Amino acid sequence: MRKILPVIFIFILALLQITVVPKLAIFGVKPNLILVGLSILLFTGNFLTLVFSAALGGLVYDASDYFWGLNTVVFILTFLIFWLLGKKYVASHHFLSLLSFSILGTAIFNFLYTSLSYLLFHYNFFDYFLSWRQLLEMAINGALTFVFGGLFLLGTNIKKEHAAKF
Amino acid sequence: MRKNQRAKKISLFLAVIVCGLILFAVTGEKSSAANQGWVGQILNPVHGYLLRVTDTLADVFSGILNSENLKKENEKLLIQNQTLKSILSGYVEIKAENETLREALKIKSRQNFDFLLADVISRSPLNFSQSFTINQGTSGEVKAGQAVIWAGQVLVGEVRDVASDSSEIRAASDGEFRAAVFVGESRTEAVFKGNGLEPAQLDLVPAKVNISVGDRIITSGLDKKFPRGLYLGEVKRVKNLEGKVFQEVEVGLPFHWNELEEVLIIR
Repeated sequence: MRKILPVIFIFILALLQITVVPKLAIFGVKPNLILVGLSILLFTGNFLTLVFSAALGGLVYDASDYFWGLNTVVFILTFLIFWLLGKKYVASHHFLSLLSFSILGTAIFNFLYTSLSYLLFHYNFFDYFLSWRQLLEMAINGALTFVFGGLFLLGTNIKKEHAAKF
Repeated sequence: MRKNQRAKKISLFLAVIVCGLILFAVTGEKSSAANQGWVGQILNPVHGYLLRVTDTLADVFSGILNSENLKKENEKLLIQNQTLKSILSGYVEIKAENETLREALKIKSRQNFDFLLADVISRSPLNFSQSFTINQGTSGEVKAGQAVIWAGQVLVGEVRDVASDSSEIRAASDGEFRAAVFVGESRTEAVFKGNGLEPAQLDLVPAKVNISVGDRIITSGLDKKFPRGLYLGEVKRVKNLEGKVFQEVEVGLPFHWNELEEVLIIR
């Protein structure tokens, strides 16, 4: 069950992203919920489950986006970078680490997406990548991770303490 | 040692998956998500249902939160409606006169459009492209390049890619969208250009031509892409820089593609 829950969680986030989230854009900028979800689950989930979740989320994005397969590839690559960086450099599983992953992850995801769509499909999205709106997206993703990641870690800690008592 | 070997196996497995996906994306006949076969067939009904539910919920909440504004807006719209009705009666007279004159001069009447109604089933998830997917495809005789309109004759986009039961629509605000247009009453020719999240623009408007804020923009049909007379928006800002051959014109669009729940396709 622990392995299925992250997959369901990411799948629901992906469905929300392609339906209701575009309506809630701030200055036209939408958050990237899968990225936020992956940042939140980074320290708690199983590696393969999270890779599968990232791929599934990417597949749902692909169903509503211009290029078939691109989101899946970019999500897997971004998650691998997350994971490797986390293993090598992050000592404590503090929620501020999640926040930095979310902000940095947005830049990495957008860079990979922009570069690959240019190299593979000759679409130029560099205007967005170099605009202030990307900074806003990083801020929104960071804020969402801060709030929900904080709550998630708090919940997990309370559960652990509760289990230790009894 | 064993752990290291496992990590190597996982890395190899992932590398194969990523390479395979890249190869698939590149070699695929069509790049669009609208052509994804079984994935689309499974996900499209889920998308459509979820979109309806979430939109209803969003409307209910925004209605509750903006009840005061809605009341004011409703009163304003009622007055506007009455004004437009009175103007319309004048147009009915002119239309009848126009038809009589066309008949007298034996001018061929304009082509009547054949419309196809479609529901929006999903919207592009990222900030890069401005597109949405509808539930009509080749089975409904939808073809790439057809005009997509809403609310009378407002051009909201074009069909980008078609699958059997769904199509992907490129919104008018997308960076790749272009249309030949007439601007204002002088019918100045220009090229409408979507600009992603930034305001749409008009290209190739000579500096000498007088363009004012509020001028209506309609398709000219000169690009042989869209029929003549579809409304695209109005001029929002004009910047005429000294020494430049063309003016910089920003366009205000009447609809944001995120708000659309249904659209009409001109066949």
